[in-house]
Amino acid sequence: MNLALAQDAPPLRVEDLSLSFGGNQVLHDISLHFRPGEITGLIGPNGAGKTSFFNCLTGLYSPQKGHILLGDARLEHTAPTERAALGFSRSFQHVALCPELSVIENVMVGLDRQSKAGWIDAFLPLTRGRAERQNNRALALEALTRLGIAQQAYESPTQLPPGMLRLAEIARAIVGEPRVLLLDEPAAGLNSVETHDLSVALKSLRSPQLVLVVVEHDMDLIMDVCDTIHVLNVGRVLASGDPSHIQANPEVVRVYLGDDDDE
Amino acid sequence: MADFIALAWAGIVSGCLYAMGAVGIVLINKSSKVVNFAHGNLAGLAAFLVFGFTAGTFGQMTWAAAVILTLAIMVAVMAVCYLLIAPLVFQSDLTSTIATLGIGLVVQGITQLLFGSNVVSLDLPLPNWRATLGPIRVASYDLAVLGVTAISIGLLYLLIERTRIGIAFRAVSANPFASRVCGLNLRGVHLFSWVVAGLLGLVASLLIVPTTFLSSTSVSSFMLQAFAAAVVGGFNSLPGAVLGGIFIGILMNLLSFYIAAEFTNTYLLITILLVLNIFPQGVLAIRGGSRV
Amino acid sequence: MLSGAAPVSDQSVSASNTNALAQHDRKGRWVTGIGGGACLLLLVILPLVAGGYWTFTLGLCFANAIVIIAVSFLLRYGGEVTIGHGVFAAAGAYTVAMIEKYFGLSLLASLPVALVVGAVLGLVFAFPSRNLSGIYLAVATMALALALPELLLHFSAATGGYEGLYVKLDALPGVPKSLQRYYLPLLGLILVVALLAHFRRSRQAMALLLIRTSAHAAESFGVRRSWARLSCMALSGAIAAFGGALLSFSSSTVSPNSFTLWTSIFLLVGSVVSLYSLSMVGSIIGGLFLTLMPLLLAGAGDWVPILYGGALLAVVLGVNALPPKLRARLQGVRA
Repeated sequence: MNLALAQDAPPLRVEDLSLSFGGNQVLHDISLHFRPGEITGLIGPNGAGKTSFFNCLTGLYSPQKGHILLGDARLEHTAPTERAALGFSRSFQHVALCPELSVIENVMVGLDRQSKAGWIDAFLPLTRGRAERQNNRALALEALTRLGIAQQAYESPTQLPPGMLRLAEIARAIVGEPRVLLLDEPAAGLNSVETHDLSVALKSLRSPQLVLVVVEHDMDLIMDVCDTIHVLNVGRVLASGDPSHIQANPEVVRVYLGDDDDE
Repeated sequence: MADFIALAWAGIVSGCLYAMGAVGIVLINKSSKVVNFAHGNLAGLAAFLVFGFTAGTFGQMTWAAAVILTLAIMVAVMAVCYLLIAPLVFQSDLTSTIATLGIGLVVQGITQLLFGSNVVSLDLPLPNWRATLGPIRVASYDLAVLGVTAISIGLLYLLIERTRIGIAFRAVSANPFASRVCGLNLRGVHLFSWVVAGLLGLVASLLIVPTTFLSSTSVSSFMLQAFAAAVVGGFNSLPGAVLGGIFIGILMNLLSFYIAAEFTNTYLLITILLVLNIFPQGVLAIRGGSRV
Repeated sequence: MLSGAAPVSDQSVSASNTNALAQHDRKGRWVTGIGGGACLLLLVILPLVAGGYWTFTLGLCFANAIVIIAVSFLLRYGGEVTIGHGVFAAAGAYTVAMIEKYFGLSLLASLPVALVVGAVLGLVFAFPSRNLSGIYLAVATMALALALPELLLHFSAATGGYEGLYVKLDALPGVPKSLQRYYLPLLGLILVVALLAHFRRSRQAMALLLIRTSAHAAESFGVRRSWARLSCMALSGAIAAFGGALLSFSSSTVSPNSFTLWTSIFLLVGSVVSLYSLSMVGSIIGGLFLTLMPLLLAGAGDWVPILYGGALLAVVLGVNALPPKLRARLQGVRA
């Protein structure tokens, strides 16, 4: 559907974003630019404000100051459901799949926004609703295949290990061909094979129609897939640049990567 | 105007009783996220126990002895009720709320088995005294209600503000997860709220009886007033529950006098719906909290 | 390691896997199909064998089962408990009786009206609490259940007051009344179960189930909480009114006495006893429990609430004590 527009997606920009809870300032004047066609990584030590920033982007938190812009549209006061309508999609740090739905059904919810079947289709076996359901099922299976978990499509999430659940969640996030895709620690809980599948899948998602932002702790994955990386530290942007640039930045190495080497 | 003042005064008196019911519901909801639909049935049983101990079914005790004995029994009853639903509380607040309905049914059935379905009379041991203050007629009953409510709520305030269990209660109702991590005994706090709610229910039901009569369903029929009071107060605030009770008391009195007396529950229904629409977080709400 | 080849082999494996699954599914479907068909046949021929008393009681049981499904639906899809569903049943029942009284039309004409009335009533009551937690809805429905008798008695010219109204007209002319009162609720129950089974696979059902477990996730895929609350309540109200309409037809009378707060609480008990089932078997078990218990305990009325309450607690606590896997299967969590 989005391909039909055949236009580059607008970039996602954040200007002077500040967020505080009570007297505790979590984000200080953050300005960042996320370009379509790129994979942008967001890293930083624990408590850097990554997840808070993310929740501002998705609308769970409303920042006290600053703007979030998709193209020219200002979004900072737009509700999460309306952002979804604009093409925002996300995965969650804590897996949020419904245990009563099979994996593929959970993924199909990601297509809800674009589906047209009404209440009559819901109750009566009419051809239009059935065709849409089959189409959605095929799309969901394709998304699961892309992440290498098509075999588990008809299982219940309660029966699957955490790594697969996370992949299923990412499948749900990508199935609706979003314009902005926000992944919150997609590799947490994955084993090395799954992480590899994930990085292949993420690279294959790169398209001029998609702004893709990844928050992640797995440095190898981030360095592997990202075109641009922003480093947050105590609520401020510490550095921005491509992976080699970030790896060479002494400041970043000190506050963040350095900690890892100490182990 | 004279009517209005007299009605408002009477409304405050009955509102105190609704407030005590509402405080019990809110206490339990705050500590364990369970809505106790058995509250009215339990309070009704308590009133009947006092009746049983004073009027001959079980004995012929003095009022003081009967009330103290019933208080002790209610502590045990509430503890049993909580222990019944205890396995469910951390699993699902929905299931535990449903379970309270089961408890309510059982308690209702036991009340009917023990005391029958007939109306009985239970007189409070109050001096027969009245006075007139302008448009207001004050009876010893009114003063007793105000006094007992003030003492009960005051004791509850001290309990919550000054004692260890009260501090634990506040911590648990603010953040159950963090309290658990800090090693607070959630079960203990839950049990505390159930027992306190049961005792408040006993006091309220004894004071309600003179305004109506005592039958197996008469006390639980005041449940809706208590729930409405809790909704007006935001369902999660103890001061809100007290003010909500008094508000409901006055409002119901005015409506039944100026419009018609037969529609009490309909008024309550409309009040609940209006309050939910206009003040979704309760009239006393502190804005900015997350919606539950 | 095999990044090039892996997706291809994955696909073929998944294809054969789904094939096997489908075969297994088909076999299972055959077994349940034959079993279900046999049971249905038994229900269809039952009135020809059993006496009038049983035919009458089972008719009521089917109608009750529909209302119980309405309660279970709200619990399953909305995650909300209602103690006012007697009111929605009453709305359906009184719709039927009043359409007969004022327009002389039979059940077949009033059933669709009852559905609409139930849905609208559901919307009206869900609306004020559309953004709040479910307890507010429960309290509002409880108030509704208590207010209903007051309103019915006040408008006694239309509602017949204490006495209530009679439903006398045949829905199907020429068929013996006792059979109509049996087969129409049975047909209604089959219809409701079939429609809900289809509904389970719809996008709306999946969205409702997701928002129940994870509101944030559902919202970020464009599913609104207020939408979920309103649609669940409207559907549940419509089903309950449908059941209530059939209940009035089967019992041939409606009165405030049959729709008190107790009715609503008992309906919830029935739903719990059926394990919130939306199936034929489960709902009929709930319906039987609700219809037969008072008859069996006719001599010991005070034991009815104890028994109902005890059954509710036993089921809730018993299910909770089961190992999680078994519990999940009982509650219908399956792929």
